[in-house]
Amino acid sequence: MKKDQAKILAAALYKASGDKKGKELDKVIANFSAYLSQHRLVPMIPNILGQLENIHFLKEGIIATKITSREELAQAEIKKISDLIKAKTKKEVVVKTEIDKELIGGVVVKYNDKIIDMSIKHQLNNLAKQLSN
Amino acid sequence: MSYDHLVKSLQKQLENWQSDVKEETAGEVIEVGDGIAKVSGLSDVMASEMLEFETKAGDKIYGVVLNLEEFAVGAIILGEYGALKEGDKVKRTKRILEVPVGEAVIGRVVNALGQPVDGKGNIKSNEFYPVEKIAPGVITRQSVFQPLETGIKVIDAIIPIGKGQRELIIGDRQTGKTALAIDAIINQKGKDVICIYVAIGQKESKVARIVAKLEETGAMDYTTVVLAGASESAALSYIAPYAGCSMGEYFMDKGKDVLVIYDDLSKHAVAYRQISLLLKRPPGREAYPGDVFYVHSRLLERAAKMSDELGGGSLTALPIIETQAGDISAYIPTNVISITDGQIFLETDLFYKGIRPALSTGLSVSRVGSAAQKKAMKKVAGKLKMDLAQYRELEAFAQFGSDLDEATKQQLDRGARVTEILKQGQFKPLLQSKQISIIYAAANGHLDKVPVANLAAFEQKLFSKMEAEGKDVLDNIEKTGLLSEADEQKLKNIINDLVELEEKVGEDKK
Repeated sequence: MKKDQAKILAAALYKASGDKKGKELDKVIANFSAYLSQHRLVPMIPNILGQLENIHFLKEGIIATKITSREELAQAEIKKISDLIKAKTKKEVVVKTEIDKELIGGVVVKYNDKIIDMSIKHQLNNLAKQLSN
Repeated sequence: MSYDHLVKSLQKQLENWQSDVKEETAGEVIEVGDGIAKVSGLSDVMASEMLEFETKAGDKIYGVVLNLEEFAVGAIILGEYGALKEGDKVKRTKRILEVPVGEAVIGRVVNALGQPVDGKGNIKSNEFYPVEKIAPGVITRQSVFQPLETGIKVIDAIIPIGKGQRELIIGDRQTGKTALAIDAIINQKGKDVICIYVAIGQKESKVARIVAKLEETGAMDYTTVVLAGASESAALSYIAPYAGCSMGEYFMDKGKDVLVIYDDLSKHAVAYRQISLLLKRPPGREAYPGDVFYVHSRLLERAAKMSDELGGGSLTALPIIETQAGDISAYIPTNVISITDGQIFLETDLFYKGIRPALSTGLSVSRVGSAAQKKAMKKVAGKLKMDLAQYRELEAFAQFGSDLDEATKQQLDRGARVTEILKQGQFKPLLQSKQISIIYAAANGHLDKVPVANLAAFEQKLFSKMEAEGKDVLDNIEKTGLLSEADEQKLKNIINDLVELEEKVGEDKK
């Protein structure tokens, strides 16, 4: 049960807040926080937030995309990639970026359960595999 | 090698290289343990597709998808899973699990994935067969009509096995199940039959001994050993028989005859039970999953005799089942008995009585084999079966000895002699013609005057005399499969001569 708890709580919160606004929403959040502290679930908040995001994206048909690169990318470059994925999936795209020095160069794009690996590291690995055959 | 040359050759190799950037489907390991992994993502993966796990250290491990669930995929891991951690990357391969097949695997010891484990180098094979294959259909088959000679008197005479048949070898531990199967392999020498021995969950020492024996007898020239040892994961034990069957099917498709031995399927069922329970499939009788019957039926159904249009190849299956305390009504034994075309039942009591092979003639049957028996063998074995059946009925009275009437006593004597001549040493398979000559002597009452204790020696004398004086009779039987009137007369004369000699020696001793 423990594993799915964050998911269940996030789903409950999403449903409860629904299309409420202003004071009403504050009340829901306050109640939810009280529930969490009462049941000693405060450490789960980061998990719940992550799940909440997932639920939101799923409901709204938004695709979360992660772009990993060695150096920080320019806005124009990110825009180009996100447009590409938008064209591919025909859905809204939200982009997150990450820096990984081990990639050597290039980028890795992740969305849904798909990966497009255009990093130099991956290509060097491929080359090594081909040469060893 | 000069520097320039090195650079040039590298350049040449790199010329053809293209960085192929593709969109890949990838997932993440959520949970791993006991040879099972749960993987998230991989929304478009196929059932029983191979997966590529990549550990943090960059090693690659393969797995096979067994469960497709709403949010995750359940997979078995083939190989060492110690290095695999939560969060590791998993990729699709878009291939169903397959093994190398062809001439290259003959004479080798391989694991369930077709990788060599005998230290004799790589297996160079361009052809691969999927591990799971649908069995040949009705139209592609024909009925079994050729004998698969095991070289064991009692089997070839009473429960003959045909090419394309599935005959179960069942019995307690230490009753000679494996020995029977190995004898059958050794006897295929020079008969153009490819043999595949699949060891499932067996002790490595036992397999090493078997391989050494096969090498010693020259049987390794036409045999492949597929090994999933007791120390390897259950996933490999589960895959092994299907892999062995695929290697056999290749030769069957080429129109050859193949003999596959699964040693043993009770351990295979246990391995599958482990996998199923870890994948949280509901347990049924004896905690086996509901589809354990299908696991074995789809494997054994792949044994077939193909029609002549398809090359007329055959795949004979000899599955082995180990029973607990002679209980053949347990779950797995009853399942496999109902799938196969007959069973060879080995009994502990008989084994310790010195009747080896310890075959219970009452409980063993062959449902199709007699159609495949050689004419000559059919002729002599018919009487033998009758004698044995009557002997079994009267055996209980044997202890009354002198109180019995003459006819009963004679039947008991006959039965004792038939039982005696059906004994056979391990690793001593016999030619059909020799089997026929000794069985002919016993079934027609020629041996009634020879003391039971002398029968083993008499058998040897008969064989050497037949080779010296009746070579043409033996050759005729081997060639035509018939026992003609003239040959029968000659055989009878040789037997009578020997019996007379035996009697004289007996009297002299007195």
